[in-house]
Amino acid sequence: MKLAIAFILAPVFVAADSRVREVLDDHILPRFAALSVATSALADAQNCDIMDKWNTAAAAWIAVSHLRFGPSEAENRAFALAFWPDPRGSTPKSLVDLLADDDPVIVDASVAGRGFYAMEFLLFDLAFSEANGRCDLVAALARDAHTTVQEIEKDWQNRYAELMRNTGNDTYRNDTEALQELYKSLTSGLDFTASMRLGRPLGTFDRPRPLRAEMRRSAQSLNNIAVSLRSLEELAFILSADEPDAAIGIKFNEAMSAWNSVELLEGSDDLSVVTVHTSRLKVETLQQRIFDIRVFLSENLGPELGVIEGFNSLDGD
Amino acid sequence: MPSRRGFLIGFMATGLAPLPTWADAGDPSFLSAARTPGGNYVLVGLDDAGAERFRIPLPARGHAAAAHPLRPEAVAFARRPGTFAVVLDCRSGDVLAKLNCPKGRHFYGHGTFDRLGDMLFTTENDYHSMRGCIGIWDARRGYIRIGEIASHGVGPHDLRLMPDGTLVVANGGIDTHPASGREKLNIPTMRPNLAYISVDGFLLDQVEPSHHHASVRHLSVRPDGLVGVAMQWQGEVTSAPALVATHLRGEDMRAIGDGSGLNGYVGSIAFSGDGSRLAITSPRAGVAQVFDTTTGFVAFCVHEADICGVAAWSSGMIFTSGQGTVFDLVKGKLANAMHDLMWDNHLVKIKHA
Repeated sequence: MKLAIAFILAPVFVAADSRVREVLDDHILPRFAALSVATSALADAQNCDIMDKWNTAAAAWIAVSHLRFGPSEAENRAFALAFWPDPRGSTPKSLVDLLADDDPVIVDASVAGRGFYAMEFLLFDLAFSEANGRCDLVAALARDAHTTVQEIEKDWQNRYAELMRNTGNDTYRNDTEALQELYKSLTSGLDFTASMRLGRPLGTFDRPRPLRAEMRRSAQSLNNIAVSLRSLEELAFILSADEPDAAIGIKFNEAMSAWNSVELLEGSDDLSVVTVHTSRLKVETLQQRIFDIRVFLSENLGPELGVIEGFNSLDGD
Repeated sequence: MPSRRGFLIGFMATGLAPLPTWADAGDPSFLSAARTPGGNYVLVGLDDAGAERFRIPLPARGHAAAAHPLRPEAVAFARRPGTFAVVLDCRSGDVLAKLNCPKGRHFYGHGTFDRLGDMLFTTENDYHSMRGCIGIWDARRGYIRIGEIASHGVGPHDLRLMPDGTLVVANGGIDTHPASGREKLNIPTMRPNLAYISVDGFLLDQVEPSHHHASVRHLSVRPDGLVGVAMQWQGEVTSAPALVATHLRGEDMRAIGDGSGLNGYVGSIAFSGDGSRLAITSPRAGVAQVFDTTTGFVAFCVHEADICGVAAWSSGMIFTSGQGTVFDLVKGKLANAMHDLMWDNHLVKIKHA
């Protein structure tokens, strides 16, 4: 209790760290605005021939998917937009339930049946192509997703950006804590892309799992890796300010050139190439290059930002 | 006159051969898993001064350990979603037994013995049916698996023996599946609970925390049956409620503290040796909060980077951090010992018979 009072009384009038401001103004806010434009187009569509619009919106989501704190975490919003990975196959089950309901209330439905991954099933999976009520459900899911995105965007604009801009509050006691939050989203974004987006389809050498690739139905699996890397690179550049900027660029370039060699392979869009031994090696290399970025950041950028990646604090249970 | 040999055989046949005790393993007071500077993982025995008494290599990163109440045997669990645990002879480091989860199960990283050390109970995930269970292993017969009971919840993490010999289980409520690693799959619908279970599987009592996003994770039990409960917040961190509670069977959970300053995360919990205080650690906030169990107020806070392990020691408690420090609160924050090891999440007290 004494501690809390001390925080309130402590005058914090120090100008915000310019890196936090830049991340907000040049990364977070514009990228959520782009997502909002994309889901607005989805929600306003007059028919369900909206694969291109879905592609644009899904990619815009991937580009902010690492920002899993604050407005995304409130009210389960990120889950309502993106339920993946789904090892139990809950999404198609939820969709069957929703299709059987004449007038489903999407906002009350299981998150597994909502958001971009659910829409992907309806738009691209043959099992749903002839389903009764498919177009109505696509439209309802699109409107629901747009509402959620608007809530996140407004929450950033009206509340959360200010908490990071003017630290010295209960959420961020100082700029360092805000920088650490942003750094954590950067590293967990890299981890997720390497371990889930690539790791899931890679499986093991003896047992690759191509059907576990993210957005394989729309063949966006590999593209998502590039979208994610570009967005994370943008964040890394801002956070590094003038420090090891060039070196970070080199690390991301190495990952992108590994990405390019995967992209040249026949059938790499959905990452089903993981079953072909020679191609698989290239996907593994791409994954390794992303882990390399991760290690580089934790050895260089992390300490620069005052982040001690503690044994327990980083990876608790 | 019977020969010496005959005498010894007769002696052993009665089961009275002198059995090894913890004294034979250097008389440690605590166990903790750790990472070495070289990146290897070990289980370490520590004495009251925080000095190392033994060190045994582990095949991978450990989590909690369970100490046999009589014999110098420790069970080291892989962290979730691990499928192995090893029973170690703490005198020699020999592996006495390997516990392999049955197909379709994995460990969560915690286990406990019954009072005499006859049986070992382990928290496990039955991930096909998305339910938690408690594996039961016979420590008298080479740790063979003799059965399992429901944990009466999803994602059981810590479990403890109650003074009356029943079990108390922290059902964290979070569903995970090995096919998606440590990804949490049911945050919007999670329902954690604290369950009291008889060793034959009957649910005796069950309470849920006030908010369903407060994942009940770690426990400490006072000799009078008061249970200290540490939770981890799965919602937005600014809205975290109290993440510490005490519970007495038949009553409501009593929230302690206000949840602020913990980064939504509590790593370990322990009552003090005299039971008057309850300590929790948050490595993410780099803080330990010590509460007075009667008033529920914070008695004091300790700031230490990557602090996590805590256990009762003397009348107070002792802490470990990922930076290698071991310290109690008698000497203030002065380290009792510094090691070149990163202490892992939990410091486990060995209950000397």
